[in-house]
Amino acid sequence: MRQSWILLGLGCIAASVLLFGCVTVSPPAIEPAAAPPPTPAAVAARSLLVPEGQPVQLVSARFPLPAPTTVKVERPELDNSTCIACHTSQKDLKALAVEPEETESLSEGEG
Amino acid sequence: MADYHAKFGCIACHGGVGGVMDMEAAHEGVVRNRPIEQTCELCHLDISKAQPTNLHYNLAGYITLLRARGSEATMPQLMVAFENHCNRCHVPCGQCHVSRPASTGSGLLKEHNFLKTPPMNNTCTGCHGSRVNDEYKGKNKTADGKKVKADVHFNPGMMTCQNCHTGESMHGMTGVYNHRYDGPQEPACTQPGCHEEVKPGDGIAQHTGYHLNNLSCQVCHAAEYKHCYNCHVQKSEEGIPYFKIEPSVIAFKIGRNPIQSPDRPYKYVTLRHVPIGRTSFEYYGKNLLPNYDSRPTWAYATPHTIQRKTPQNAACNACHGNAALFLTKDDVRPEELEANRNVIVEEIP
Repeated sequence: MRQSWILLGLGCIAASVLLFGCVTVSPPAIEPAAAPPPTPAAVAARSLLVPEGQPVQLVSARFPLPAPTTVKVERPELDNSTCIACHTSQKDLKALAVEPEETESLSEGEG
Repeated sequence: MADYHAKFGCIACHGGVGGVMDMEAAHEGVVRNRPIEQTCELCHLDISKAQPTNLHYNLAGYITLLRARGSEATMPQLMVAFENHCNRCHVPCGQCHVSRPASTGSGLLKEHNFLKTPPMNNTCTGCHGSRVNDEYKGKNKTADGKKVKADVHFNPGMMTCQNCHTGESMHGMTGVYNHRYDGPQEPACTQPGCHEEVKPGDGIAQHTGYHLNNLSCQVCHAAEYKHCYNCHVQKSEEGIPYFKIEPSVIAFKIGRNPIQSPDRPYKYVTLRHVPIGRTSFEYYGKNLLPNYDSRPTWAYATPHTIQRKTPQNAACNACHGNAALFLTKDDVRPEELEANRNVIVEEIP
């Protein structure tokens, strides 16, 4: 009988503590999380690209790119159109044709 | 379809100025053949790199024999003669693959197409005309008017030069040689794909080990062929080079092998009188061939008059004991006896 009273007393104490807590303790405030740390992979990649001790240059800082420079290379004019135009013109070829000069060979006998 | 080479245009190989309508201005710097290093070699490197050793290009065979019959002291004068009379045959690539050689009058072969295999009649025999061409095509007649038949490889079937003489061989890609009979036989009658079955016991009675080892194929299978004598070169008063040569002779002669070696081990071969004479170059100086006797004027020859059946292989006695077939003292001019001492047959076999 005495034990029942003890157990009842402890239950009441626990219930009162629980009820008191619900009323007086406010929920924790949710603060925005800090930026997540870089993943190991990202860290490794960056360490390869940017030597330690040097400031990281953002990609955006490289733009706009400078205009490409070109050096004009002197090349011979290889426009063959005029060669072909003349050398396939029957009219021009006939007009410019020269009969080969017959030279008398002084050689005697089979070559 | 246009020739692939057309993509390079005219100027790349021939020079000149494009885009100009004035004829003289357009032709400034035009050349017929630009150096091989600036043209063909850019793509055809393997062939072009062999050009310096190509006998068709460097004509080393001429130099070898001039040096042998001449001397170091007379070589400068001989080289002047060589430049004036012999070097005209020197051919760059285009003068077989695009046009006829300049020494035969030039002229495009097939418009301006580049031909991988030059046509034999306009290129090969354009230069090798009087002996090889006439023999191969059966154009020769003997002194008694008998027509010498065309080579069996030509008629029937008309094998072309390139069927036996490969591009590698003609472009100097098979080795460095001083003369066309220097090095292995190219072509060889018994090479793979040709008469490789020829050997002792092949069913032909005359193909004995002794015959095959001691006689060149032509000894038994060539008909009469051409011999030339005493070519003399000189220049006219206007500076035009020309030559005079005695009428050629059609005959068949077997002699001792002047260039016996492991490549040509034969004891007896067919001999051809070559057009050299002791005074061939006298226009350019006296006694320019002081070592004239060091080389036979009856030279190792491979006539292009091959027949399966010939008078000499008709029977044993058609050849054995037949002095008319062999080069004897009586066949050699007195002033050439010393030069031909090693090729004259003393005892008819």
